Amino acid sequence: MNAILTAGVAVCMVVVGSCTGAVPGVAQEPTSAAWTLRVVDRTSGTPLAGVLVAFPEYAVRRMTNDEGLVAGEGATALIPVVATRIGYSRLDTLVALPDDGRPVELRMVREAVFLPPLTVQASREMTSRRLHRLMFEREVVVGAIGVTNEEVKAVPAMAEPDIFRSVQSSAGVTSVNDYSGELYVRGGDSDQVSVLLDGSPVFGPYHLFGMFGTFNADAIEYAEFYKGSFPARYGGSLSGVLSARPRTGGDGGSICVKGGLSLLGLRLVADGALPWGGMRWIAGGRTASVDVARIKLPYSFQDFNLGWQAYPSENHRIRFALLASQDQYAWRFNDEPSSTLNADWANVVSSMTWSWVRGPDLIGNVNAYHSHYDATQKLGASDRAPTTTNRISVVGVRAGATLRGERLGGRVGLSIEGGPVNLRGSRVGAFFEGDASRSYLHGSAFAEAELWLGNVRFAPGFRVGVEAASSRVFAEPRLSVRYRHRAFAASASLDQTHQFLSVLRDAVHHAPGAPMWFVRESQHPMTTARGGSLSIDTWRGEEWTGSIVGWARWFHNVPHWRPLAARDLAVLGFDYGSARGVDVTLQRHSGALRGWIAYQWARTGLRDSRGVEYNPHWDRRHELDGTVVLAMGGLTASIRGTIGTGTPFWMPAGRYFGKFFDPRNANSTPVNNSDIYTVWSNTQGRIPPYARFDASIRYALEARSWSIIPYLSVVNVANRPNVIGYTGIGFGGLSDARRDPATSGRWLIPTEQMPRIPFLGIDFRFGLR
Amino acid sequence: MLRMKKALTIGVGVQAFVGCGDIVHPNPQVGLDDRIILTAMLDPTARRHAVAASPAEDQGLGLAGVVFTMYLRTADSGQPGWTRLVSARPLGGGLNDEDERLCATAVNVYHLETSGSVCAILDAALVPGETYKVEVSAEGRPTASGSTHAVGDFQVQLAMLSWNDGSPVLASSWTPSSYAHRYLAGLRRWETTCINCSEAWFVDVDSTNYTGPVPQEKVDSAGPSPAVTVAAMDRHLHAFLTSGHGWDLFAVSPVMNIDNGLGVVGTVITRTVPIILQGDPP
Repeated sequence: MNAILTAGVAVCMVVVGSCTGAVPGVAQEPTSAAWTLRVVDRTSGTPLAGVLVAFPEYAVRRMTNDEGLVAGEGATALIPVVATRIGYSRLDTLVALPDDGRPVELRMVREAVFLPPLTVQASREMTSRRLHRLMFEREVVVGAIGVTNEEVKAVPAMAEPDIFRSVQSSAGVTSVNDYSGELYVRGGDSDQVSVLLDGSPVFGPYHLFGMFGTFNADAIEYAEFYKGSFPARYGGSLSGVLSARPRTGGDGGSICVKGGLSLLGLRLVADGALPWGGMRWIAGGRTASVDVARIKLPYSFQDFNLGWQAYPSENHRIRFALLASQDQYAWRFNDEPSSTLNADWANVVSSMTWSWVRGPDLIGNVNAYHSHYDATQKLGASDRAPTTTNRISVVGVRAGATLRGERLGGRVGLSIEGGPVNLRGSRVGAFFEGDASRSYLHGSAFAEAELWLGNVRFAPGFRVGVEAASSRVFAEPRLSVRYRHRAFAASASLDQTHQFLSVLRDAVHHAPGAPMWFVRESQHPMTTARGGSLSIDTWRGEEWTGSIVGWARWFHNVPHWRPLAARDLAVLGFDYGSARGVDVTLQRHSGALRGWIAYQWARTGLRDSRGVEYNPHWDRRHELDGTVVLAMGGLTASIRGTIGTGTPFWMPAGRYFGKFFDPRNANSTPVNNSDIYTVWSNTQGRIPPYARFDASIRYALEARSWSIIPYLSVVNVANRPNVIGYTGIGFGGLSDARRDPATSGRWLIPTEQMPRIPFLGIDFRFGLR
Repeated sequence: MLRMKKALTIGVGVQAFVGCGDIVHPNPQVGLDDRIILTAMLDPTARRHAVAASPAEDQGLGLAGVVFTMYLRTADSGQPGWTRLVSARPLGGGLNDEDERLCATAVNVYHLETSGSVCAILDAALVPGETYKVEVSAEGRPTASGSTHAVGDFQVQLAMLSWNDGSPVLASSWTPSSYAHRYLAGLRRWETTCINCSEAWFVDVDSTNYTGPVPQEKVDSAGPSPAVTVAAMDRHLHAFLTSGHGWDLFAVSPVMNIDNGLGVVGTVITRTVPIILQGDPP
């Protein structure tokens, strides 16, 4: 009897499948359907969109729409159904379809979300929609997004795809100029964003002055990015967290080699699998050498990635990641030997994580890491040229457990991190003079909870810690709430964060190159930020997502260094201020034409210790950023446009000659004029508006296991002369149209940003068996 | 096709916008700054000291009502204070040769009538080891000042150039200058100044001698009658002359010791002797 019934079902399903012409995996509108399934959250009853409903016996898959519905035609029967969706336990059941076509309700149970699955299985490429949904389901905090490899490569870039440049194109992140990939998030400085590689901090995460990041896009699977608000498990930074997840490939038993050759240099990544414990490995590197003739700048960098992942047993995973990078440049301003800025910096970052999955209810992990950073900046070419060095060697351990129930879940953990942070100047005249070397030891505990009450999800969190060297104790309450109804969600976050490790930045002279980190001395306060944000998110199926976010933040004790004479920490001041803004994002994730557009309005103001108000150099009020990708067969064309209002700068007021000892001068005091120095006033102006338009075109040629993708990328297609700043004051005759008669024939001499630069290159991929 | 047209339209629209370089492109104004740049390189072996001031702001308005004053640090009933030694107003047009030479060479101030800078001569005897303050005030501007201590006199005892395996070696020694922070010693032509001959060469030492190699081209540019110049200077002037990195957007300014202003106040004594050539150059 059962066999007959099953055969009958099989015939019916074949008829159903052929008559409807259903495309597996595509949502169906319930029109004149013979049967309908409705998938809901078992706890709240909320319809679940994006659930993959499979009928294994008939090789048919459907996806629920925003109403949680999926439908088809056919006679009533008992059908095995498997439903899967991120954030929910897999549902494997038999469904009795009623004769009258009433919807049959399937209820799915929430489970802990972890990335990636701890069981060995063929990995699915992380699409942007999938990562977007995963981040949205896992994190209640406002502003948590994921950046996939796909999105990184979609953004036209200078020579190579870059995670930082892609993140810059999202709303809530300000870019200050073409030469900086630094991230200024929700009104905060770039050193207020933690950059992590699998949990380990990277202190010098940029190449080429910060033009792009130190992460090789081929070696990174995706990145999680938190803007402004982040869960209690993250601490030590104020404004954001960029956490890159290294890739480990090795599917299918073959070795896969990816890479690229461009005008910048060569990059190569290989990954594979080993037959022990499901082990996968990845190794890759980049080398580049640039000599930008226009600015007389020989520059080179190299970076290397290594990683592996193993599964000693079904419930255990061990993962290791290593990043080593090195940058060197020598910037010769003119023919004077003293007019040389030499800089080099290196990172060696390693991280090992052990994860244990006891079941969907309990996951534990322990992460141990080490980060070493070494930077040198030298002004001049002689052996006695003033030199500033910065050396950091930090180790840390972090342990945590995630517990998840139907209505209640949580995460608890402990972390401890510490090590020496040495900042020294060799002598008077260096970027930094003196010695600000200290060690720090930072211990903290955190707890996060999640509670579902109907359609509302509460996520309170708390982080408490101590910085032992200065005996500073801090507490960071965090709260996030989300209300969700169908294809709409409203979220709110409140948080408080602290930071005691900062980059020493000259407020007037923004010297390029290696960031110089320092630890606050005992008498210096920690920087604190408090903030709140509200967001409205909406989506339409698997294709469109959109969000509007409003936020406000208050900063206290932001380091401010503007040395006029001695360049040491004695002149370090602490400012306070606030920032607020609104950002809007619309993204299309699939289709031949996809991309995103983001608009941000933000305003940041700080006050110094004298109460004088000023705007920091990242205070760009309006920024519109859009990326459009068109994929047709093997051809992919992408365009990125950025338009923004100008950023503040300190206006030059005058010039003076420096002096140098010149024994050739036979007069009584043997000195001569040396460099011209600008007198920077205490008045701010705004650089003119910025606009840039980049384009790239790629064509994939594929044959068997080979793929070759030549590309052409053009930065600043319109060759628009965007201004980066002003180097001084010009004087001239009446015929010069740029002069302002009101200023007695003086005008500011602009320095332009990146001109139109084409980049040719070729990416490749092949497999070895 | 429709999608392509849309993408193309968007691209052309953005391109048109960004290609219009000067839409809403006001030129920022030059900033304001009311500080004074004070330069005073005092020679304790001389009686007359040239000091110069110029406005930090290149507005062409110059300085008005300028007064330079020199003070000596004294202790009155155990409390440190300053005793005024001398004041002077800037020299006017038509300087005599001696004053113009002092101003031009001491502080590199040329063309006083048009540069916006002013120069004055302070007549005071400086005592090695004592601390002096030079102050400049002008109408509508904060008073700028800097202090230094006077270095002591010294003599160059040895200046010899020899050749070791064809490479020139300079041996020079001098008596210590009391209160000097460091010494700068370099080559020059004995008779004349030759700025354009080649780049300046000097060593920076904290001892009273130097024996070491000299680049051959520097020896050549010093001509047939080379000389060595040794300058003993205080900490502030040494820092000002040997620090700083300018010329561009990412400059690091030289170390200065002026309160409420820019520039340097320091002391320096220079001694020059002809070099004895030992052996024949290759």
